[in-house]
Order: sequence, then C-alpha cells, then structure tokens
Amino acid sequence: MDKPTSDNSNKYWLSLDQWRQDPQFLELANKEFQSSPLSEESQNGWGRRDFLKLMGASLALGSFGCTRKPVNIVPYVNRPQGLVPGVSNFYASTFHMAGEVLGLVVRTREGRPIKNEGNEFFPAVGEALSVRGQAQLLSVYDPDRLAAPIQNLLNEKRSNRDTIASSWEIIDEEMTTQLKKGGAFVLSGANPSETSRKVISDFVSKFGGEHFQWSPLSYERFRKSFSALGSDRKTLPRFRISKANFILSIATDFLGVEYGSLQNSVEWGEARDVSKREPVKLMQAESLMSLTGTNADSRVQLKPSEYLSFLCAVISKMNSSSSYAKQASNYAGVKALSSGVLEMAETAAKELKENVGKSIVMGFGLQAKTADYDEIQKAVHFLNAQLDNDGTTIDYSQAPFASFLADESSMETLIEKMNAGAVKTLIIHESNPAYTYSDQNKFRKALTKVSKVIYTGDRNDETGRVSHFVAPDDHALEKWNEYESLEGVYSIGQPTLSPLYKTRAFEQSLLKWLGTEDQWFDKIKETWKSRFTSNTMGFSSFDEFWVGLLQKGVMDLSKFKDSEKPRRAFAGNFNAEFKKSSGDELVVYQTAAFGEGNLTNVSWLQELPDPVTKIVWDNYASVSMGYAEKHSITEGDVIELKVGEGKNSETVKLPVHVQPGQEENTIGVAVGFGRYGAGKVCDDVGKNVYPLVNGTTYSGIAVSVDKTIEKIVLANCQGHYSMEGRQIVAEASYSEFKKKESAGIHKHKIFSLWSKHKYTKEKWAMSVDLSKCTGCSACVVACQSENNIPVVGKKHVLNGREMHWIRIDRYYSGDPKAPRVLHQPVMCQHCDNAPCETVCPVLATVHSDEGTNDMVYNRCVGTRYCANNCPYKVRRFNWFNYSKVESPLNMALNPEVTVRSRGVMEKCTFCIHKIRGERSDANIEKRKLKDGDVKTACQMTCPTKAIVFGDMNNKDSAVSKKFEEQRTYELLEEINVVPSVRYMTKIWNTDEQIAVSHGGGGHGEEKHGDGEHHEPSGHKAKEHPVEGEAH
Amino acid sequence: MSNDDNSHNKNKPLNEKPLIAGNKTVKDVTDDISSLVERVPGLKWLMMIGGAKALLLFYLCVLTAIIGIGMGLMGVNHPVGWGTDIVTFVFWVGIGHAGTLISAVLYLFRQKWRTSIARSAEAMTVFAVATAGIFPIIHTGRPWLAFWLFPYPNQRGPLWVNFRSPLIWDVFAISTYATVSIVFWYVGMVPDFATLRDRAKRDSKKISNAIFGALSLGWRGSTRDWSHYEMTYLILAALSTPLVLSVHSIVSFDFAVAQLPGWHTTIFPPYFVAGAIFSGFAMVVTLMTLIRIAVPVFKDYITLDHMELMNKIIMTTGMLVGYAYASEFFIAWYSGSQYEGYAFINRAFGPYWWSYWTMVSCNVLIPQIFWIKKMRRCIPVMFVVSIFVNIGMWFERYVITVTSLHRDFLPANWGLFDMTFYDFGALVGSFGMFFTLFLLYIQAIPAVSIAEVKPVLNTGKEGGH
Repeated sequence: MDKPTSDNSNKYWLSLDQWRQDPQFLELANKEFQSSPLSEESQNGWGRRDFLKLMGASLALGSFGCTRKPVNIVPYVNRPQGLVPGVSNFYASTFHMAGEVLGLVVRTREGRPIKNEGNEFFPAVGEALSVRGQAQLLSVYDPDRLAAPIQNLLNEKRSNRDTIASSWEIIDEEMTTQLKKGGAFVLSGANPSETSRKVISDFVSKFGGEHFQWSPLSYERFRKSFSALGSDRKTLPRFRISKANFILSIATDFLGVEYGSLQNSVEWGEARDVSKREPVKLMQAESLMSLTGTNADSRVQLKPSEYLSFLCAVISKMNSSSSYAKQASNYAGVKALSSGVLEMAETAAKELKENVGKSIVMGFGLQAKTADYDEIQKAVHFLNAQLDNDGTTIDYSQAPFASFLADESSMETLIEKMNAGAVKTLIIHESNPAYTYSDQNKFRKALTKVSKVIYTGDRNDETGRVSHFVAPDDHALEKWNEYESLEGVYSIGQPTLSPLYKTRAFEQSLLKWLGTEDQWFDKIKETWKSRFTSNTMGFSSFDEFWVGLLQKGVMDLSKFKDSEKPRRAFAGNFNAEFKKSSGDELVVYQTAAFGEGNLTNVSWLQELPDPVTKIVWDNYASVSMGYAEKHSITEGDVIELKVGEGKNSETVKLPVHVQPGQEENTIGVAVGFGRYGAGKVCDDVGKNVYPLVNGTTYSGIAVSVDKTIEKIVLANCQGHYSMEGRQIVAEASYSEFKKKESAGIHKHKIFSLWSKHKYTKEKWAMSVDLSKCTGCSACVVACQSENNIPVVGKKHVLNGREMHWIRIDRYYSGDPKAPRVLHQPVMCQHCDNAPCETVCPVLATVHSDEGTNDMVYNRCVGTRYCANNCPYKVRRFNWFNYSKVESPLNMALNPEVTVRSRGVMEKCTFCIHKIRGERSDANIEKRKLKDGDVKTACQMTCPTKAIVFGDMNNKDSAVSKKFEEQRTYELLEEINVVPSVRYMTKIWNTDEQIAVSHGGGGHGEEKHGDGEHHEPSGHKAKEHPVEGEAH
Repeated sequence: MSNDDNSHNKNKPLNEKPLIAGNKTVKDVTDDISSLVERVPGLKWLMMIGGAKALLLFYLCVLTAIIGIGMGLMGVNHPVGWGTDIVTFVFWVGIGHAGTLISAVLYLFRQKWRTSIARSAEAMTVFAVATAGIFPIIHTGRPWLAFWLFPYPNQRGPLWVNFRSPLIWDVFAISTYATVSIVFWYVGMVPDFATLRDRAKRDSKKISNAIFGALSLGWRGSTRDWSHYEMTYLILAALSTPLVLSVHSIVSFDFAVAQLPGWHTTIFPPYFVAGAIFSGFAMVVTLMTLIRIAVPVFKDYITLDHMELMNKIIMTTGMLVGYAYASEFFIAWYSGSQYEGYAFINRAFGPYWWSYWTMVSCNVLIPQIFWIKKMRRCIPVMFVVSIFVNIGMWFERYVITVTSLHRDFLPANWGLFDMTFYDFGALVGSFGMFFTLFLLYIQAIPAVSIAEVKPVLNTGKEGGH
C-alpha cells in the first residue's frame, strides 16, 4: 500500500481507498447518491423510490391517457436492399436451449424478428417447433437484459455488495492481466457448436485450463449406460415411435420434456394416425402424471423406488433363459409389488413378446433418475436387446441425437479443482450453476477460491451475482453460430437483428482474450469450409454452398443413412440391492416451458398453462388425491418439504396441487422456478427446488412433509375436471373404432327452419384430430406470438382473464385416482350460425363470405354479449389496456395483426392476415389459392399434425378429406351453430369399453365432478341417435 | 290530523271508505301539499339529502374509476361476462315498472286509490330508469363509444346498428319508456304547477312565480284547459300501458334470445314483467313508508288502505314469480336438454346456492306473511318485507345472470364470479343517485297530485263540512 504523501491532491479523505483514488471506490462514490438507498430491498434493480417515482409519473400519464400524442413517422430515405416495408423477411436460424437444438425460420419485419417458426428442412421435425422455440423470440426483447457489461463488487463472502457499470475495454484489460496467471477454465452448458467448442478449447489450452460442459439435467449417464450393449457412441439414439406397436415407458416424459420430445411427438402423430394404422399402444409406468402419461393407453402408478422392481417383474415374465434375466427375476423388489402392478407387468411382457422388433422400452427420463438409474437403464437395454428393438425401433440410422457431453457429474470435478486452487479464472457460459447446482454451499465456497469469475449471461442473476464481471453474450438471434443437433446434421445460427445492446458474442470475447484479431464469424465459416468437399450437397463451390446453407439453414451431412448394423448383444450383470422404502418419495421434474430454468423471464411461458395441471405462474408440490385425503390437505395449502437430516437438510415451502392419477405416496416438484435477479417477470414466482435434489438423483428422494398454516392460491386456468357426461371429447377404443368408425360419437337429429348459408368462394375450416393431439401446448405459444396476445399476470388469471385465443381443455374421465386424460384444443369455431354475430348491437363481429367470423375491433363497444352467447367461450375481453408493454417488448408485436385496446373483444381469427397475405400473393401470380398455401400459426407448429386447416369447398383439400372421415364430429352439434372447426374422436388402443352409447345411460360414468350431474329422464326419448345424419 | 287506524270506517262498506283521511277540505289539500314545496326544508330532509348526496359523490368516484381505468375493476371475467352492472340495470328498470302501472294502467281501470301515490310512483319510475340507464353505459368496455348503439345517420357508410341484437331493442325500449314516462309525469303535474304559480303570485314570490309559471305552460284552469288535459292524459295513459308489458319483456329478451342454458327460456317475458311489477310495488311501499315518516302530513293522503292494496299486489305478483321459478325447473327437466337441466340444478345446489335460496325466500316465502291482514296493515312489517323483496329481486337477476354464465356448455370454461369493491360501489352508489333525485323531487314538486286528489275527497259524502 502506498503511503499518503503530500503531493496527493486529496486534502481530506474518507478512506484509504479514496486517498489512493481506487477506481472501484470512485465508481462507488459517484454512484452513492444516485441509486436509491433502499435499492437492496428490490433485487431487480428497482428501488422503492424509483418505483414510487415511476408510479407517480405513470399515474399522472394514465390520467391523461385519453389524449393521443402525435407521433411523427419518417420513411426511409434510402431503402435498405432487400427490405420492403410491410413485407416480412424470413431468415433461417437455429434455436438452442440446454441441449435442445431445433431449426428456425425467423420472420422479421423492418429488421426486427417477430416470430419464430420451425424450419421445414430440419430433419425429423420439419415445421414443428417446441414451446420454448417459440418463446425464445420474446427473450431477445426482454427489458431486463443487460445493456452493457457490469461489474459486481463482491464482499468477503463473495456475495454481491454493489453493482457498477463496466465496459468491454475494462473487462478486456482486466482479463489480459488475469489470464497471465493461467488456470483459465470455462464452464458451459451443453454446447452443440463445434466451432464454439474449438474456440473454447484453444482458449483453455493456451491458458492452462479445461472446458467443462455441465448441465444438471443432462443425458450423459444414459449415454454411458449403453456400455451394457457394448457401445460407447457419443450420440443418443432416436426412438422410432412410428415403427413401434407397443411402448413401455418407465417415468420418461418422451413427448413432453425429454431430449427429442419434439421429434418423438412428430413420430407420435404418425403412430397415432388411426386412419392409417393401428395406433401405437403406450404403457406408462410413473409416479406423477406427466404429459406422456396423459397420452398413455394404460398407466401403472409406481413409487420411484419401484421402477426397477417393475422392470424386473416384466423381465421375469419374459421367460428368458439368460443369466441377467434370472438375476433380475430374483430381485427382491419384485415380490414387494402389489398384485395389480404385477398384473400390469404381465400385460406389458405379453405385449412385448407379441411385438418383437416392434416395441420400445425406455426409462431414461429425469423422473427415472432414482438411485437405481443405471440399473434401470441396464434392464431397459436388456429388454430392448432381447426384443430385437435395438437397431430397429431404437436406432442410429437416421440422424441420432448428438450428445454434447454435458455431464451431470462434471461439476464435482470442477469443484475439486477450484478447491485445489487450480482455477484462477472461471468463465461461466450458458450455465447458471448458482441456481441449478443442488449443493450451493459447496459451489459458492469453492468459487471463493477463484480469483476472477466471468459470467456471460444476459442478466445479473444468481450466477451473475457471484461473478466479478457479467459480460453479456449476444442473444442467439443477434449472433452467428452453428450447431450440430443430430449427428451429422449441421445448422446455422444466423443473426436476425443487430445487437440491441452493447453485448459481445462470447466466442468473440474468447478470441479477443486469446490475443488474436480473429473474427468469430470467420471461424464459423472456416468450420463449414472444412465440412465442404468439392461436391457437398450438389454445390460446386463453397460460396454457393454457403449461400445455400444460409437459405436452408440446415445441412444433413450425416453418413449414417442406411449403414447402421442392427442389434447389439447385451452384456451386463444385475447388481441392484433392494432397499424397501416406506416413506414419502420426492420426484423432481422439469416443465416443458422452463426446463432447467431457462427463459423464465418470458411472460408467455409463465402464463402458458401447464399441459397437465393447467396452473400458471407458480410451481407447487403435486400430491395424489389419496395423500391429500389422508393428510387432510387441500389445493393451495402450503407444505414444507424437508430433504436430508440435520445440518445438511434442505427445506422448501410450496403450495399443494392435488393431481388425479398420481401415485399415492409421491410428491412432485418442478425445477425452473424461484429465480433471483432474473427479471421482473420471474423473480419470486414459485420456489427453487434444486436444493432438494440429491446429487444426480432427482427421483425417489426420501422426503418428510410438514403442514403449515399458510395458503397460496394457485392460478389454475381450468378448475373443473369432468366433462359432466357431455359429449365434448368423443372417445372410443381402437376395437370399437374398427367395428364402427363413428364409435363414441352421438349424432343428433338437427332440424332447422332456415336454409344453410351458402359459401361460393373458399370456406375455411379446421380439423383437429384428438387422437394425435398430445396437449403439448406449442400451438398456444405460437398463437400468442403470431397474434400479439397479451399476458395478464397471476392476479388476473385468478380472475379468469387469461387471453389465449387457443386453449387446450383438459378433462379427466373414469376413476379420479386413475383417470384417462383428454386434451382438446379449443379456438374460435367460426360457426356458420354464429351466436355471437346476432347479438352484437353494433355489428362489430360479422360473418365473412368465406365462413370466418370476423372481429371489427374499431367498431367494438365492449358489451361482451357475444362472449356470453358463445357456447365455446373462446372470446377474450381486454379488461384493461393490456397491449401497453414495456419497451422494447413492443418490438415483438406482429404488425400484421391489430393491437387491441382496452374495452375490445378479441378471439381467434383463423389467422385471417395470413389468408389475406396468401390471397394477395396468389392474385399477383394470377392463380388461385392452393390447398396448403395458408397455414395457421397453430397448425404450423403442431408436431403431431393434429391440426389441419384449409378450404372445405375444395373437395380435394386435406381438411375436406378429414371431414369425410366418420371419426369427425362437431363440438356441441345439437345447438346447431355449425362450427367450421371439427374434431376427430380420441381413439385409445385399449381393450376397455370406452365409447359410451349416448342415450343408453352411459352418462353417469364421470362421477368425480361436483356430483351434480343431472340426467333428465326425458333424455332417452328425445334424442335418438341418428347415424350419419350430420347436416 | 292523521288517523292511522281508520277506526271510524270500520262499519262502512268497503267502497265508501274514504280514500283520503282526516276529513280534508279542498283548501286543506292545496295547503297541505303546496306548503311542503313552499317551506324551507326541515332538518330531517336535510339530513336525508346529505346522506344521499354523499352516496352520490361516492358513486361518481366509482364510476370515474371504472371509466378511467377499465371495466376490469369490476368482478366480471371469463366466463361471467355480465355481472352486477347488468344485474343492477335490470333491477332498476324493474323498479320503474310500478310507476307506470299505477299511473297508467290503474288510471284506465278507474282505480281511484291510485291518485295519492301516482305522482311519487311516476317520479320513482323516472328516477329508476335514469339510474338504470347509467349501467349499460358503464358496463361497456368503451363507454365513450356507447352512443354507437343508437342508429343515427353517420359518415361510416352509413353504418347502422344490428337490428337483430336484443341490446338494440333494449335501447329503443328503454328510451321510449323513459320519454313517455317523463312526458306523462310532467303533463300530470301541469295543473299543480299552476296552483303553485298562483300561490307564489299571491305571496309575491317572484322567482317561484317565474319558475312555476313557465312549468305550468300558461294553464288557466278553464274548462277548455281541463278538457284538453283530461284527453291528453288519457291518451298518454293508453300509450304507456303497453310499455308496462313491453319494456321488461324486451329487457328479458337480452337473456331469452341468447342460447345460454338458463337464459334461453320462453317464460322470461311474462316472468320478468311480473317480477318488475313485484319489485316496483315493493319499492313504492318502501318509499311511501319513508315519506310517511319524513312528512307526517302525507299519512292522510297515503293511508294504510293504500299500503294494504299495494301489499296485496306484492303478494300476488310474488306468487306469480314463484310460479315462474317452479315452471322453469319443470321445463328444464321436461325439455330433456342436459345443459338446461344442469343449469337449473346448479342454480339451486351449485356454488351460488345461497343466491338462489335468498331469492326464493325473499320473493316467494316472505311475502306470504301478507295473507294475514294485520301484517298487511302493519307499517314496520311491510317496510321490512318490501326491503326483502327488493333484495330478493336483485338476487333474482343475479341468479339469472351469474349462475347461468358461470357454468355453461363446456366444463373447461367453468369459473366463478366474485364481486369486487367496485361492484359494491356501483350498486350502493346507484341508490345515492336515486335517493338524491327522489328527495329533490319531494322538496321541489308536489309529491301528491293536488288536482287528482281533490275529486276523490269524501267532502260532502259525510256530514260535518
């Protein structure tokens, strides 16, 4: 330390820091009276004073809200090339989130992306896109993103003392000196970019460090388990569901959240196309009710500790003579299973034996990550090998999933290295260990040994606050990248807008710190050059190839087309020891919306009803009905979950959700909630349950439960479970369908005084195949993005004011403890005899000559009579001025769709702007609209192709063909509103008798509603089933 | 002066019972009624108007908030798109009915007992309709555009309204009703204004003279004046009579024309009219008991006989309404429609059972007490019953609107409706508006028709005068 000398200009000084003119101190001193003294109260950077100030201002503004200020708009003087105002540009790009890589086509308008769509060239998925793929768009406009690098001044405990602004120059300078010390490590999530991995590896090798890829929910253990089949491939297999007849899934939500769930859903759509084949039969053995479980033809409710026992029971019924089978059959857990479960195991074994080479057994899911996970995988591999499934229905022949070696256990190694002092600099990229790692004390303690921590996240969140610098990476839509999602399938990440803020691509930073002048973009091009041989994909020169790549976005260079040898021999020993578990078991699961906790600040996802529970804006402890009864707890009661003993115990308090169909003694909790510093939307939404995770064990964790007196009301978008015996979702078993294709549908004799409407032009119509729909809810987010649908927040959802134009109704039928679950997407049905149209006093909702029911927002006064008279209740009202959003979120608005003001009714338009756009294109080309020209947003994104849209006046259109099928019915046909949307019966592949003969007393089946179902005795006499007499 | 028990009439035949008590002379009548308008308001009135005004101010604040911030402040939601605004609107329109019935229908049927209550009943009609008129406007999402419901020539095409929508029928029905009621009320007041003008002139009150002079339209009391007046009044009465039936029939179409189970019923028009008369008479009884307390001199004009007759009507219409409730249930069952059946079971035993049983008890059970003559003539009893009837009738509309909407065809949409502060505010505040208007009316206008009461005095029939 320098001594104070007389030539120092500071005559009076507060501290030695000030006297020395420490830059950090000066920064702090400058800021001292700028920020609110109370700002620590609010983690998101909003001090109470700021808030009050802003609130005062907004109140003042709000009260003069009626005056419209003139806004000047200025046209381009020189129009940028390729940009026509009012016309969308489409850019192929790639979506990547925690190992999930999907092709994107980003629709941009005037230089700003407005919608993420799937890329039709992307193998195995095509145009489909996941919930998160859609929602990623909004995250680029997240107002809580960092606008520039920041520096966290950390205290001795290495927690955040204060945050000051920083710049790239400061960071670069800081890093130059820091890196000289060596020991530069990079911790990243799954990184599917070869170029990026190469840059990282160059970086760490120069500075004497290592690159760790760590993800809490990775599939590395699953990949390694293939050693039982003598394989050490770096990839994960694809499940060819469309080739299978029977699937036994052990706690694997392969349609909802696991790797490849979108690809699986695409195949599921083919496999459940009952018009073409016998639908694949799915048996789901699980504890919670997962999305896949809701689609299962039969479910086995098991505790996590029973998964292995169940598999062994199946193996024991397979009559296999192998030594593994004998060992497994003797597993003590088998005997502990109940007779009902054993019966199911026998059924499963029977089905498997009947479908050799045509079945799939899987058990790799997160919910199967019990202490027995590796043994479960072995048993699964044994069965698949035994049944010749390996190589046929489970294969690597067409683009298997690239595994990025993100290892769930690599963090242990890294922590050891940190504790040993080997790590001098740690760069954390696309990973948030201070939130997702289960043992926070251990991680944070180890972090104090690292002298510089750099975080590349776009916000000062959990990991940001324990890092010295937050050096924000560009958003994926703002930067170049390239990805390998399926082995040999490479896609390009094109920037679709120039960076909104002073961010810098992470790899560019590494290149800079490496001391080179290399550009990140050139590196990507280099990689592609190395992939390009003289005639790749028929392109003669690299430049042509490059242009082709940018246009298509994806290149399938896989060499595995038909060359994979089938069938690997199983070699493994059964060495599990049965430990009886008697207490409650905890299952940690991930949601389709947030996964490990990404995109949590995207309000679309927070308000996306969970596909199963329909709850929004919270996580909760899901318990079974039996459990709730036994402990007399009800929905919303807060319970305290305690995992571990004594000092190491972790507790989390969560409200209870009572879930039909859940195993009696398990409790389910979802990760991805309870964020901190991640933004205004998601902070304090739910609780973080990662601390409850036991290392890499996510399921079957012993838990003790305490009731509390608190209550948290959960915002559930659908409170009522039962169909009340009404024909809403028509369902039938496959055998019933085989006998009579219209099984399950009760047609009504419709008599009307009036003649039908005539449609001489197109008549737009939609068919929704309920047998294919899995309830994944991708359509809900797609619609929200396409149509500028506002998000209203938990408070208003509780009051029933969510705004979704398409919702997925979920009903339970049968025994509430083991129900069948039905999903039904409901959007405006565009009725021919629309009840909304006749009652609107001002003609704000009118019928078009193409059969659509149009809303004229400008004319709407807001009497809401139309909504009352809508039997489907699809109309949504703007109770407040929802469309007013914080900048720059407004940039995500689709300019082709009117933004609705307060007091106006809105609803699904059948994407009329798309119809108009396509018609105008067709007119310019002097042709008629073809079938398939117009695709609604929901249809486009639907992975199972359950939604078909088109012109029903055209007899050859896909929708007309669907309408001709006997499985088609109209929702609420008897009130004769003649909807343009028609549904197709849900067909279950089961032996149960499902189709209720309406009028024959089958109505009383659902008894678990309010118990108020009333069946008038005059019913039978009045409504004779009249086959085929749909008007 | 007052004579509440009418004991001296006990042995007389009913038709000879004097309609006005206290053996008034014609001059007494003029003095009694005019003096109320001419004197300085008493403390009782000032206190009452103070309370009503405070409530009115509160109402204005609530309305400002709703219009300024958004309809969302109220409890309405998805699926319950219509809430207390519509409930209260129908409630107030219903209240108005008794006025027209008393002044027009009973006039045509020569029911002389109507004379002493007709003026106030008509005033009540006008004020109730005015109060009701606010609600459809604030219930719209964009109240500043509510005028679009009127078919006026415009530059949008011209863009007309949707004549198929019951809400448009409502606009016509209510505006016609309001217009006819006001004209009828005003025409009836012209001779009385002339009386007040003459008295003001006599007392040299210049301002009163000018005001009443203008209001009396040059009335001179000549035979010619009277002849024209009687004819106009008769024609207006004849015009108003169908309105008694039409207004609430059309209001009921708002519901009956919709296809919502619980709304879609043909019984609604007569059921609504009966209910309206029922609630209207209950409101007249409430107001008359209050007037009798506030202005004791009115006890001679609004006698217990009047009250008893109204109570009989209340009991009759109450039973009509009860019959409608029962018949709705029967039809729901008989129709065989499962949605209809469920809607009615849900009304009585669903989450809003309390509103249904409040309605049944208040509207059907409680008025049964009027079978007992003593109760019919007991002021505290009838006051309490009339309040109950008004509560019951508000709940009837609540039951129809909310319980039908909250569970309709698709169970996935089912939801609940809770009233917020603003719902209560608008409901309670509307009484502030109504009572302010009514109290101003009592002070500014002869609350009993001087001209009409005079012919029904029993002067000359009995000895003494």
